[in-house]
Amino acid sequence: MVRLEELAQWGQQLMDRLGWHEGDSKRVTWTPTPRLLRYYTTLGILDRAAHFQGRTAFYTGKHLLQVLAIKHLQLAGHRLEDIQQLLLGKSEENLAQMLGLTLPLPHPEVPSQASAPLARRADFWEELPERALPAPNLPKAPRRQLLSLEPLAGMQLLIDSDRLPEGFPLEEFLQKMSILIEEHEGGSQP
Amino acid sequence: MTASPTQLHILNEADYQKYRVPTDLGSFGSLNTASGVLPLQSMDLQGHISGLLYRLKLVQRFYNPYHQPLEATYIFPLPGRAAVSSFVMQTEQRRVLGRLEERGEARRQYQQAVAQGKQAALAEEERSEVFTMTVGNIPPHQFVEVELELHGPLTFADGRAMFRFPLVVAPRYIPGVAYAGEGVGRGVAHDTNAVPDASRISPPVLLPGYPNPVQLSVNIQVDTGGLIFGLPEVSMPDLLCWNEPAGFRMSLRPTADRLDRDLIVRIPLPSPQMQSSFQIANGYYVLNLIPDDLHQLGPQTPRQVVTLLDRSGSMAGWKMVCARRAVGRLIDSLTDRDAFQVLNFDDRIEYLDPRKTSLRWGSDRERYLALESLGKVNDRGGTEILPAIQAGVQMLQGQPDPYLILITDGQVGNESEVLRWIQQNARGIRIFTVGIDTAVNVSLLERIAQVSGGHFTLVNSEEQLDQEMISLRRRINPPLLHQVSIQLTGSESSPAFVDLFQGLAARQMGVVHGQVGHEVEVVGYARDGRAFRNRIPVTHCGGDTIHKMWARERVLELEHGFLAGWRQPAYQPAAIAQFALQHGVLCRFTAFVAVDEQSFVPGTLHQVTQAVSQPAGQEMQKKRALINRPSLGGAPKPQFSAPMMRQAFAPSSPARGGFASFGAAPPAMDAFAAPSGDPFASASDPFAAPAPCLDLDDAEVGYEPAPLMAPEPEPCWEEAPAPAPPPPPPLAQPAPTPSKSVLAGPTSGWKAEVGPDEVQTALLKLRQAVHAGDWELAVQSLIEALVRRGYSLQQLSPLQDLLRRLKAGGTPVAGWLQQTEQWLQTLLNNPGSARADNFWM
Repeated sequence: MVRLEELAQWGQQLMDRLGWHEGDSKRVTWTPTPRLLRYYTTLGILDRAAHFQGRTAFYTGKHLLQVLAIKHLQLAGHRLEDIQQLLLGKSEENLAQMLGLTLPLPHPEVPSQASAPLARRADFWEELPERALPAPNLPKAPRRQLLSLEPLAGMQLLIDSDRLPEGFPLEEFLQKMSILIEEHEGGSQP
Repeated sequence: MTASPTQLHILNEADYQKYRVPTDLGSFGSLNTASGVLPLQSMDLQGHISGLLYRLKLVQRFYNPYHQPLEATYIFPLPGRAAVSSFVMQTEQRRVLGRLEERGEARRQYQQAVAQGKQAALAEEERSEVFTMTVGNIPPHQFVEVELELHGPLTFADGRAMFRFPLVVAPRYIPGVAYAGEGVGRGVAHDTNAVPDASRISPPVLLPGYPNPVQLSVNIQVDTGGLIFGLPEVSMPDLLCWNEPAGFRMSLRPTADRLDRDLIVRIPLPSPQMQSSFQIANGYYVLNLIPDDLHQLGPQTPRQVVTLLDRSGSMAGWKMVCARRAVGRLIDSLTDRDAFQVLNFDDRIEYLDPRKTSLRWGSDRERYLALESLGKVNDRGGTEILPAIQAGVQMLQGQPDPYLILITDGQVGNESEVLRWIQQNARGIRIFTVGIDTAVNVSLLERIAQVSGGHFTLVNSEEQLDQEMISLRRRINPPLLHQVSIQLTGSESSPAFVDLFQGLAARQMGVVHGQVGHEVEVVGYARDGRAFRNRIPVTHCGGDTIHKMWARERVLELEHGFLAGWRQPAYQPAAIAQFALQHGVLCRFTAFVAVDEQSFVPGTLHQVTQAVSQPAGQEMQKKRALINRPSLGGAPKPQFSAPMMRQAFAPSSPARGGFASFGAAPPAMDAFAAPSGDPFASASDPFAAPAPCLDLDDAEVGYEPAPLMAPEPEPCWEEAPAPAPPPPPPLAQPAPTPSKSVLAGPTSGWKAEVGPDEVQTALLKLRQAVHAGDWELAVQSLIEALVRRGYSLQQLSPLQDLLRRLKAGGTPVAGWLQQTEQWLQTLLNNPGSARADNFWM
């Protein structure tokens, strides 16, 4: 069983053997990401990961054959619907035969070691969820920020930043206000 | 655009032959096939509905298209309250009756038989609505049929009986951290510490373009006592209703084959006919209690209402629009003596307005502000339903009259966690659940409502919403009668007590030892605490339907007790299994197994899990992201009136009214609703429920929020040209005699996509409305349409006033309609003056 990065390397070796090249298609990329594999899994054209160790998923040769078969068909310009119809329910032998490979597959150079899985009960229908639930938690209101400005000596202005519309020209506003106040003060003086 | 020359050597005709299932896939390039590579070939549903009970036979037909023996696994739904009472496996040679065994024993017998090369089948229950059928050693190119017999109840609310038969297990969100090692099932999800059997409830999902070979046939006789009050409404356009002397018969047009939504039939029944009844057969009874007009609503007391709005990725499309509207309706029905709060949740919980974190008084201003911020809520992440319920309950704790409204599709896998928490922590808070989807997780939502003393409302289309919400907001009140129970010596009822809400039937089933007279007495308590007594006549009948239904009801109670962690011996698996075996019903701890001892199938076993369709209306999110097509956010098929045979309903008959109000979608609409043949459908998304986190790459949390977009589509097919935009919506004033298409037009709520037609449609509804209830609805939708076009509620205050008067039961002055239209014209014609963005409000 191998991790995801090793699966990618392993796939690269097999592709070399099959004579596929990186530049064969600009439109198909050989970079299995967790998200992509998860998507294939939901469609039923890729098995679930064989094993988990914490968050790390482990894959086997069958997973590799399935991904290669998907890529192979994509290279030929098939849509995922057609691929789904062709690959649903294929066995490992079928896949190897299709790709022109023989089983068992040549092993990758560094196969990673997975620890033995924890034993689970055989009667899963009597199993109850066991995760500890966090205490109920209500989200907090964001702290309101008050901008304290001193546009003129002796005058303090408090601005509620929450209520300020986005893109409000604060600088300009303050300048104009200062001018207005100065004018007013100037005008009121005899 | 197609493959470049360098690629062509990779796959040639000879290679391609190797990919094909050798039996009967078409020639090169033609992928459509009669049998396909999936084992499930057809489903057949037959039976009859009588009163509020049904008895059905479901036949699933599996075919092995491979050259080696096949083990087919099919994860499928059945109505949660239906009892499965018998199981038959029909091979091409023999008919084998299934035995009900304790589940571990049944699985052992099955595995042993399959290992010996015998043909065998196993039916198991995972959840109260999710089942697994495993058919082993199907010989190459042969059929095996399995038959299940079901007994179940119909629900009755607001003068309509509802028959519901789910047809697809929708993708569900699986929280928690994945377990190491092999899963316990053949689904696509990993078992996690929150959902230990996730791999048994997650069938692979077919892309929308998949040519689905599953043939569904339906043939159900409905006995309504010769009277039909109106047209039955059905959720599938292809379901036809035929008139018969005692009622009608439903059958499916043979072209329909997609199992992508619940089969729902709402049968209007004349209310004088529907009265409380007590039926007894062989000592097992069912009591249907229907509140009549005698139980008047008391004075309105102040309520505290917290609404939880599910905004997870699975809610994309029409469901989100529907959910927002539902919340809007609820807020609007509050008075200024009530207090409310709205929490949006996906994998985060947010307030509608982040600055208002406590309960808000339902004053006009607060409600308007809430409605305005509601429009910004869109679908986003994964469905973490439990933290949201926890937050809602915490907020309501200690309030005098608390209600929690949960608006969701319920597509989660951790039902037992949710139910366990609610049963242990949410005492005294009534939870009303609203399920919005074409394939809702009813068993969860119904159970939440039941254990907390609330009620479950099913909304399977946008058309259904308004009617259901009007009923719902009348029910968010203390029940008319509470703690209602039957007074019978030597009887044992499940549930022990029921609450009676306005317009809703309540059901109690049980067993009685001893004789029953001509009448039984029912006792309950009214709102003011006074005792209420009533006598109900007894009807004797035969058959074992009531017995099986009661056993199922009791088993569900026991199972939920087990899941809630109750320690009493009756709630332990062995005791539940023994009870189910004694009464012959399938449950979580029993299973049906059928083994054909005389068969022998040589060869190595090939295993296939049946992939299922995506629920209708869920495949739209990716497309919406790609192109801006106005109708994509819209509803899937609206509610259809079943086309009845014409001689039954002469054109002059009042039943014709049904066509006008629930007009069928015109063919033009179907083009947008049906995903097949759409080039963009191929890039469909990984829907809402992601597998639990798979890899190191998605770091910190124990789950990954549902991706909103598909993983970057593997760009392997040519870019299809964007489909031509649909014809523009009718801009002009609607004609005086409108066609149905205007009525059934898309009522989508995407802000950018709303055209003038929505306002016009609402106005048209207003003109056509004939009584106060319709006016109220029409004015409401007009306001909503205008708000979506950017008018603020302050500008719409004349309409709001009108609505308020209508709701208070007042009659508007003569000529109000003309006035309203004039006012609306001015508003629409002077957009500049009427629309101002008031930042400083």
